[in-house]
Amino acid sequence: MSGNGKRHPRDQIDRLADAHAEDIITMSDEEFLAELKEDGQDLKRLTAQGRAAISKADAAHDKGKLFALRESYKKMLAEQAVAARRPKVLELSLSEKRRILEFNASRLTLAARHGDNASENDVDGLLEDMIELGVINEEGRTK
Amino acid sequence: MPETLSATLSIDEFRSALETLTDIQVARLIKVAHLFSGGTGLDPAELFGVTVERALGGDRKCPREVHPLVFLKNAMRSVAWAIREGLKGAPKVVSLDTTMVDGRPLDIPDVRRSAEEKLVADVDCEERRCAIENLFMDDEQALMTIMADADGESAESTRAMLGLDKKAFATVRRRARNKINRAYPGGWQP
Repeated sequence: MSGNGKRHPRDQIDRLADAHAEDIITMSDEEFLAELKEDGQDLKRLTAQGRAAISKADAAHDKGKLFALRESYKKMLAEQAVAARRPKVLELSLSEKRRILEFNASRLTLAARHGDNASENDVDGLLEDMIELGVINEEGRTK
Repeated sequence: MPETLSATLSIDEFRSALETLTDIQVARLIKVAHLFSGGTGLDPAELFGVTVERALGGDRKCPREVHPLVFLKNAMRSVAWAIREGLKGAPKVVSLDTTMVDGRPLDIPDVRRSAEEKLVADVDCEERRCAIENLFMDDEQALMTIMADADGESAESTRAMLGLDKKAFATVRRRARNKINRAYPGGWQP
């Protein structure tokens, strides 16, 4: 604490605290107990404070873990609900889907008949349209 | 094939390490927390608790070769520094580092400062620094160790400068520490 303007007082106090923290950690148990006594502090009280803080942190951690698990469970439920809403025909292989499109081609618009070049997403879109229009049911059977 | 150990303790290993801390080690950590908690809005036990929670949450990991006692000492220093930085910084945003493991913001008093308030805080630090020095006007040896520690001088060089052996140096440091603790029971930083 020479008052050197290049050194911020906050950093200086931090360094001072560091040096003393190091002493507290490295001194022998006997020296530590003697210091507590000299300082009028009670080992039991300090230990109780520390153990209580650990228990509280542990509980908060479990709460955080529970929170994360709950979020993950909610996400799984949502994914399951989306999957359950998905028509069964969309779970078939691409070739099966194309066969259904071809089979029902005469009942589709011209634009929808080019299923051979369509991507799986396009094929799925067409099948969903066909379900909506009542051409096929959710399992892909012609109505 | 032998299983490779990671460089840091797992959460479960760290939790086990916490359980093996002796009463004296726990008390040492609370004493250390007292040194670092000033200016954070947390009392020593709270600072210790927040640090443990961060470690259990995986935000701060204990290197395998570092004793958990030393790790927690360093982590408390770092957590306290981050909280103080978060509080003094503008724009007024809550740092991610001040968030609990479940995403809730850490419940600390909102003492974030404007530029003007920051200047005042700097003046507070300067005043605290001077006040600490003034505590030792009648104890030259203690005053010298405080000045050297604050300037980041090593214990060895300070001991050599003052011509003290290890034991005498430890006694001077302890005397200084007790006096500052009594003068500033709320922590050393303003």
